[in-house]
Amino acid sequence: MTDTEIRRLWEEGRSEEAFRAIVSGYSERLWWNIRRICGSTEEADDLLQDVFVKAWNSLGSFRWESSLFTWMWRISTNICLNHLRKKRLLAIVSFEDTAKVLGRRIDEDPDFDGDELQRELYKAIAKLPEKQKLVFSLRYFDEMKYEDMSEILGTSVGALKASYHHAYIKVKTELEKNISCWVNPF
Amino acid sequence: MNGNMNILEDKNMKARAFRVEDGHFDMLRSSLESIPGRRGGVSLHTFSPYLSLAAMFLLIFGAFKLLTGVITPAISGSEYSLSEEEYILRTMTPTALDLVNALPEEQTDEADDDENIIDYLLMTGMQVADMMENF
Repeated sequence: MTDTEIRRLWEEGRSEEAFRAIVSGYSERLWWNIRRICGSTEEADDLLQDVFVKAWNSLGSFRWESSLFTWMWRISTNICLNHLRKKRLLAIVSFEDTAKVLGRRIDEDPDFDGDELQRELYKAIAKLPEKQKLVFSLRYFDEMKYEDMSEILGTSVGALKASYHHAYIKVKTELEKNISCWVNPF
Repeated sequence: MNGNMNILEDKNMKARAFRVEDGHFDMLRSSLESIPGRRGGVSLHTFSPYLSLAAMFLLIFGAFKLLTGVITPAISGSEYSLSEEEYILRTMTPTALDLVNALPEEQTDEADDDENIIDYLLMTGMQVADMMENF
């Protein structure tokens, strides 16, 4: 269903139908993004609930000038960033290294179904700063346009390109370092 | 492994790496679709990091108070351990008792009282002669 059709439903007072259309259009893709960068399946489920609760509560004030796509992603990325910051805060409180905590989670994740290279990839992503993590995930996995990312994250296209480049180099270097350890452990 | 190969460009790397139970998204969707019928609320987990941080600060503050409570009498007994500035400050700063002692002696001179009474009577319009008679 297009934004125009959803808007029409909303304006006709069929708000729950409009909301169902948004759920149907965005929930799965948003869930995968949250799952990749924020934590376990349970956390992704809870965070997605938060995203849609926020969307439902704010739909009345949505101006329909920007696309629903960027609006939903903006809500999702804000919730993800807040969650990652809370995790970092918890790690500080427990005197643990956030990257190590997240890396360990991937090792211990019962739902991880990738190969060893992918495991190393996710561990390398876990070491990135929060915003770079999001930029990397949106661009690398979702192949999102910089223009859309710019609208979602409120950052200029140039800054996003630089951020992605830095993140890409960091992840690549980390992966190559770990793989060379497998090939030549001594 | 070929050193020139960019691992990140391998298509397999972008494949979904997490297992999801069959019907997970259907369940999730039906749960999300029920949101409009629910009442809003804030769960405790939203605040849990802040609660942990507050508890930690309280613990540190409590420990600090406990330690300073134990240590302070020992320090105050030994003025030799104070720096010169601290010593001067401590000895020069008047205590509440010093301030009370520095107050002038209580006025017992009755002459001041009489003068006040005379001023008051003059203000009310009493004649000096009448005053002389009464005093």
